[in-house]
Amino acid sequence: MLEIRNLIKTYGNGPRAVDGLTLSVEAGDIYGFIGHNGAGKTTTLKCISGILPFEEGEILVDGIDVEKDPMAAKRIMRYIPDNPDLYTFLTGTGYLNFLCDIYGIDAATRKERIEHYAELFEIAPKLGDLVGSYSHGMCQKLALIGALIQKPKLLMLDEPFVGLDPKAAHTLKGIMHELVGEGSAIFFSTHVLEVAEKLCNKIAIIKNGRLIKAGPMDEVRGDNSLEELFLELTDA
Amino acid sequence: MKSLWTLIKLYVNSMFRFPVIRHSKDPRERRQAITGVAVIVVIVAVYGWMSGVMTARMIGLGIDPAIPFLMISALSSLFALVMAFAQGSATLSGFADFDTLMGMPVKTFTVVLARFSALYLVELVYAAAYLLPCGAVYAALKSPVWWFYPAFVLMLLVLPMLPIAVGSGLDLLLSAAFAKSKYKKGVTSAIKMILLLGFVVFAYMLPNLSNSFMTAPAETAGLASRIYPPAGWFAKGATGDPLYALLFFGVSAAVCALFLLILDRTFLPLHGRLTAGYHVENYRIGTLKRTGAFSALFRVERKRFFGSTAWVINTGFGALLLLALGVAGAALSGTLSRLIRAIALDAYVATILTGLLTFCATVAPTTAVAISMEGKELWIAKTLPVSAKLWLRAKLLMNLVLMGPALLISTALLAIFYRSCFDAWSVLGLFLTPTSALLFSTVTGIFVNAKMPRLSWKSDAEVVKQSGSVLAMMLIGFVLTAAAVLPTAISGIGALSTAVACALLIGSAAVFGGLMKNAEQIRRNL
Repeated sequence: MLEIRNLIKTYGNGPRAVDGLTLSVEAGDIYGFIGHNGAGKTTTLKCISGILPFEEGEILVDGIDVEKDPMAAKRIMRYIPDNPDLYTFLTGTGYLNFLCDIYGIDAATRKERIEHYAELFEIAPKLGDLVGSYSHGMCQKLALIGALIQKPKLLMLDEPFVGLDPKAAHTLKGIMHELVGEGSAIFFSTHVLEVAEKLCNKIAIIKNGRLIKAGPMDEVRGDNSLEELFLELTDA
Repeated sequence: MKSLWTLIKLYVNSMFRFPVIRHSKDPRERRQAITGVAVIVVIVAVYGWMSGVMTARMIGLGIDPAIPFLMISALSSLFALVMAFAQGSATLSGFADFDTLMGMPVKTFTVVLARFSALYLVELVYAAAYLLPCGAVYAALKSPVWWFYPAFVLMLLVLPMLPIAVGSGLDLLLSAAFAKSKYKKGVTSAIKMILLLGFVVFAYMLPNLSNSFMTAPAETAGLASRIYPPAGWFAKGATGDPLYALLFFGVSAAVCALFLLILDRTFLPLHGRLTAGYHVENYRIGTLKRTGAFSALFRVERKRFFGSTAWVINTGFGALLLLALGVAGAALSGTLSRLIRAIALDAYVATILTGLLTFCATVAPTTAVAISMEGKELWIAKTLPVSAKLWLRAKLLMNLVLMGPALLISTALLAIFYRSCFDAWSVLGLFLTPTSALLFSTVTGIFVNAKMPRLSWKSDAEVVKQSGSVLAMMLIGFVLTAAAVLPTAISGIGALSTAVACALLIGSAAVFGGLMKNAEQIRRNL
């Protein structure tokens, strides 16, 4: 579903933020992406989603090159940043309806999906309010609903559990399993290693822009806990 | 005192982007920030030059030297009042650092004073640009007594205080009154526009104020002093009466201090009221209409525009002025036509009207900040499966939808009511030149904003008021007006106006073509 080959990204004249990253995410994967602050996780996610241009390498989403055909790639993937700034001048419904128009979702389906996810995240009564009045957690929920109503083949999330209440975090985990069960893939960054350990079937560890370990969770972790492995690899 | 200075530095740095100029390692970002400051310097220089030349000319004609002081102090006070009324509450209560600051050991009064100072310093720059050359010319030609210098400087320093206190006070009251309304932005924007338009109409109804300053200066000065007495005190204080200088200084400082004290007492509840969102009880999702991607993008652009009072006031006002020009021109056509014939201005009517229409249509296009207004929400546009061409076209359409109908209505009204002053070429020029200038300013606005984007901001007023792209487009608006008027005015050949229109159409097509060709790159590089 996602192929990253030798990705190199540099900001200005600085050092490489991502340095020769190669990674593969299959359909059905919940793939965790961990690393210390400034390791290059968000930069990688932004390169995949088309927010940032990159100097070298190739990124394929379901076989589509994101540089050569960004529109086709964007149609099947969604990215949610760690601190989603949404259109504050729209209501929650207005924002979701806008996304449905962009993705060409028909009127009946959009209503059904919006109501479904809004109920799950317990945000339905607030959808008539302006996004500008939402808390961080509510913005996070709205951004997630905006991504889920499209049923993306590849969902990329940057720190998705930050700001969510425990119930919403639990709901999100259930939805993630449901989505990959339908053949999608999820690639997400997190600092919460316990969540990554329980939720992901695959994991990648990045340090200073370079991939230092990647693969199925059990193989990567071995007999250690993920936390022990992470500390061992990143302190080295 | 130290916290106050730190906060003032913070706001000034944020407005003029000095840290970016000094520390950014990205040459493109640095260049953009430098250009923004350079454009402000150019505008200030142009204002200063105009003010100096006008003062020298009036004194040279033997007109009382108090009159240029009165005119210019009244103008800069009016400018500060309008700006504070348009954006005062956004600056005083809109910055996103409120929670952070209130959690720090900083007095509320310090925050209030720092935010007021941010408004004040900007207006002081413009007031100084108007008044310093006026004072310098007066000093050079009239050799005033020694106390003129300290009195003039002190009066200049307090000049923006009174209009800012009044303007932002009114704005805060208006915003607080409609804070809990669902349509608070729309209602406050509409009321502000009506009040500002009312003011313009009032100024227009005065007996040809600007012309009579030259023809009957004493009477007109008396009238202007009655409308805004502090301008009269300023003029008298600067030209010979120290008591008036003291009166001006005292009243300005006292009103400002009173405003700040009231604001200090009410700042927390006022901020709470202004930031409280409208909440719908028992909300149920209704029928959701499906539209195409372009309609959705345009809808978002429209809601973003009307959701920002600062943006509406700054750019929507051009559309209202256009309509006012057409309607007032039609309503007063009988009187004005007689006046035109009496002073034999028939041959220039088409040129003057073309210039006025061009100026109103081009001086503040919405496109000048359409990219910057995306701010931190830009990630949405970058990740959606919509082409950058479509995204830019929605922004272009917003300006055309706003200005186009107003321009056409106004032009049609003027063409009908002043038809006796036009030949075939001038009618063609009247329609074509402002329309093609509008097209040119619309596409150029996006181009300039793409070159000078300002995506990191705390308040929309910061973007709309301080962006280099806005000021650059203002200069381009002046140039377009000159281009629309000067060839015909100098040569007397009406067909030249149509030739200028054709050149502008070709220019618009070229800029539009360039934008569409490089649209993806423009969006990627933001």
